[in-house]
Amino acid sequence: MKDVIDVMALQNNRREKRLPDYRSAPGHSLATNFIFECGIKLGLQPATIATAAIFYHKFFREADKNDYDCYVVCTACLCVAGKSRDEPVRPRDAVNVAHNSINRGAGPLELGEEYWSWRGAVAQAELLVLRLLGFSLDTPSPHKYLLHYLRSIQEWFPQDQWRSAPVARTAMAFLQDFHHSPAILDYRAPHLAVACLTLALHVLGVSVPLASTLEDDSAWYSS
Amino acid sequence: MSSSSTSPPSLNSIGDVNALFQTAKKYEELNVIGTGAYGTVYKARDLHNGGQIVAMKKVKVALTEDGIPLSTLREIALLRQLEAYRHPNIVRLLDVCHGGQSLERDQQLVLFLVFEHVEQDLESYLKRAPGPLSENRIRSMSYDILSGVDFLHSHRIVHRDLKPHNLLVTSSGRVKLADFGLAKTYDTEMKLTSVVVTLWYRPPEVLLGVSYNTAVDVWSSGCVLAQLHTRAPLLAGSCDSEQLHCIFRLIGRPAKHEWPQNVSIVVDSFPDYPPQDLADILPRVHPQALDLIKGMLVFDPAKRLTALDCLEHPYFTDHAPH
Ligand SMILES: Nc1ncnc2c1ncn2[C@@H]1O[C@H](COP(=O)(O)OP(=O)(O)OP(=O)(O)O)[C@@H](O)[C@H]1O
Repeated sequence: MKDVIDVMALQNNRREKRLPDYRSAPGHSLATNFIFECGIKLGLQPATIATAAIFYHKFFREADKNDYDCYVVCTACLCVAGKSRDEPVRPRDAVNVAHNSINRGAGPLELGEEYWSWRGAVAQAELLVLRLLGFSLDTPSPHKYLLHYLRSIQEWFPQDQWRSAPVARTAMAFLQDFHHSPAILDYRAPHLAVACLTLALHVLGVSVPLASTLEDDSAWYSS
Repeated sequence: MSSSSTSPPSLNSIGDVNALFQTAKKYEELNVIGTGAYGTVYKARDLHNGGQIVAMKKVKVALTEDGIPLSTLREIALLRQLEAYRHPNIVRLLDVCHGGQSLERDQQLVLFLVFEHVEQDLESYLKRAPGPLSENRIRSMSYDILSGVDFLHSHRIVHRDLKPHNLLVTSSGRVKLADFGLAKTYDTEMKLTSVVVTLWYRPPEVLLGVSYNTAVDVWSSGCVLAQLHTRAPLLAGSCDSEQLHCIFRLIGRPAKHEWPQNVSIVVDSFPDYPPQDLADILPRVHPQALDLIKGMLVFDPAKRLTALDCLEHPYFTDHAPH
């Protein structure tokens, strides 16, 4: 278990040193990474960022990936997600963060032609995203389910055991990570939450206290 | 990795979204059904669904610095969310689209709300009725209206503008509520000033300009329920103050202590009308219906029945099936 955590920490470090280069990435390969990076830089809630990723996947389930600029649409998805979850992003901030993530170290954009052309493109893309989604912005929230499940399962653990294994953090990380895949659209929110929780328990090698008293191993948190 | 900024990502593809809106044209407009204060309703054909006839409401939205206003986006998203319940007394919202940012006026967006098309509204239904409606028909229509109102209220939506004009009547005689949930969108938007807004269903608190809540819809429903019996509007005032006179002639001028604070009009500016007996105005009305309507047309919004109270009134519960 210890090993796993160390590996994760290591990966985190490495990620910080080697930020992705969006410009040289082929096509849409880093689209969701971009959404997560910009979302975090904009200070958005994890569930809002996840919503933006879902909008992105929904958009490109309908639209052709070659027809639209990946990062402009990603930025627009963050704007729409922000509005739909009452966490609005200022367009200026969105454009600056997007631009800086693509052009690492470039500094803030001057209010010049490049800025306005970016901003206009994001504004248009926002309308386009709304159009393709038909304004259906209500996304199921696996995060909420996961929190509920975590809270109920936590009560079964002795406090020190719960603290020694990062179940909550790991399960949340799995959930966030799954948003990189368009397959996220194919599952129901409670199922996603249970799957992430189960996976976290397996990976951390934690077994739920008292679970062995159940007649079979079909406990709700195991899939 | 160079730190110099490159040209923005290929924007031409995005810039030309209008092309997409053209190819994505899904509806063919047929004719205008009606024009409301905030938009026009067209009859249209859904080209992607075997030419099914739909009702398409066109609403203009002002775009702000931040694009589409947050309140508009959330209102429309909520309407889409409500749709999942498929409530029998709420008109189906089939699709929402927009025509893209117009090129001439780029601060404006034309939204299209696509609804199921319903034969007629209650206004024309009542006009066309050959004679008084049967007691059962009145009861079932009353119940339909109140169920729809209760559904909206349970989702924290106030209709604000209930009237026979936006109550739709299906071919089988069911009533469905239309035209709600866009109050904030409308507030920020382009009102067609030429359209006269009817005051007949407005409760006193709205006419007096004090704050209001879900109780407004109960008042308006009360006026409509009375109209189902007589097929004529109950309180047909011609202007704000005239409307208040009509109301007080019916329910009596409220007592001084009931008069809301911070209102420019003083209670003494109205004659001391005594309350009238609603039974005189609604001849042959079922006594329980009379009692229900009286409970809806109460001056103080806090003392008015709620939509749920109405649904549980003996007028309905004593008469299954519902
Ligand atoms: N789904 C529908 N099917 C058929 N007719 C409809 C439908 N929705 C609205 N209408 C009709 O279209 C007309 C205009 O409706 P709309 O809702 O725009 O205006 P309104 O209710 O008169 O005004 P306002 O916008 O001021 O509330 C009305 O006569 C209404 O009955």
